[in-house]
Amino acid sequence: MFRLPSTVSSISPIRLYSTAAKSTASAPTTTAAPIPVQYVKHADSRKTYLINRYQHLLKGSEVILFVHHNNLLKNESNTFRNEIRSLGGDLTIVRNNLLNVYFKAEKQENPASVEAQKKTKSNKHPFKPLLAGPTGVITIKETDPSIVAKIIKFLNKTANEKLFLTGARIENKLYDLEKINQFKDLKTKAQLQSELAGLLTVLSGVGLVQTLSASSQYLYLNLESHRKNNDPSEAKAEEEEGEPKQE
Amino acid sequence: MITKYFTKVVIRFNPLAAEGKPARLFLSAIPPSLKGACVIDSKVLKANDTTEPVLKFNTNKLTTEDKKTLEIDPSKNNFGELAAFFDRHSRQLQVKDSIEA
Repeated sequence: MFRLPSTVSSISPIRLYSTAAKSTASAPTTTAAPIPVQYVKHADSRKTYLINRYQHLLKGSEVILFVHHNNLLKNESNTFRNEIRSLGGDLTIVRNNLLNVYFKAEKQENPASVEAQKKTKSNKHPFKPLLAGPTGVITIKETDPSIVAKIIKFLNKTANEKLFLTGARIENKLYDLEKINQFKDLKTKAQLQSELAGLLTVLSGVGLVQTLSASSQYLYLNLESHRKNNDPSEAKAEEEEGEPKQE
Repeated sequence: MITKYFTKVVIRFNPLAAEGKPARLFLSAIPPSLKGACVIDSKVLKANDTTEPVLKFNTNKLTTEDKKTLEIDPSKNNFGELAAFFDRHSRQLQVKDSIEA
């Protein structure tokens, strides 16, 4: 396993915290100090770092495109990265098993911690089939189909065999190629929402409000008639409690 | 896997199905140094495509008399089996090469 040299100058504040916390763990605990995170692997290890990095990377992005890369040379990889960055995405080559671990423990606060791993070891996630062979992820911060369309166009045109799309995660759902093709032709979320809002304001007079408030009105009427029926004797009320709507 | 004698690779696969893993591992096993000599024709299938997943090769020795196409279904074999299948032919060419040289 890869470890960073443990000279004090090279340790980041986060790492200092975790190692410092470990030494205080055996000492009598003070209530003010936060409980140190216990990682499955060493806190300085590459695996822990990568899982934390994936968390940072994927939590902040709503669209994740999974790509397959084929023996990229350094200059090819650089041009692809730069091009994708200029289009609004960010290409990262990932380690499949570590990303798999992250996806399983995604809802935990610290996916690399012992506690999270214990809870989520047998979890399943739909992205597993995409994590086979050389994989990269293109992360896009907002759900913007136009960026996805631009990136797909670039991949098909320039990168073709070397870097191609295999699937996507858009707002936590698995998209296959067909769905991605449908998605990229949509308008942006904000545009669609404003269109819907416009539609509602135009149609508000035409029975929409009535439809929306109908169910609560029916409920009120039902309960009201039920109450009237029950008023004379309480013994009767217990019999009919289960079926108030039939009356 | 011996990739030296490949001249054309045709590959069709759906990354979400069983053939995804062996097909992708196979693609990555072809070194960049072979990119000029070997044409790679890969296509990613969608879930409802009717095309069968396929992995096809033209192996072609330098003397051109040994043209042969090999075909295998990647959804029923793992990567090791695929490699063994193609190596069986490549090894013959290798032996031939070493005798003639």
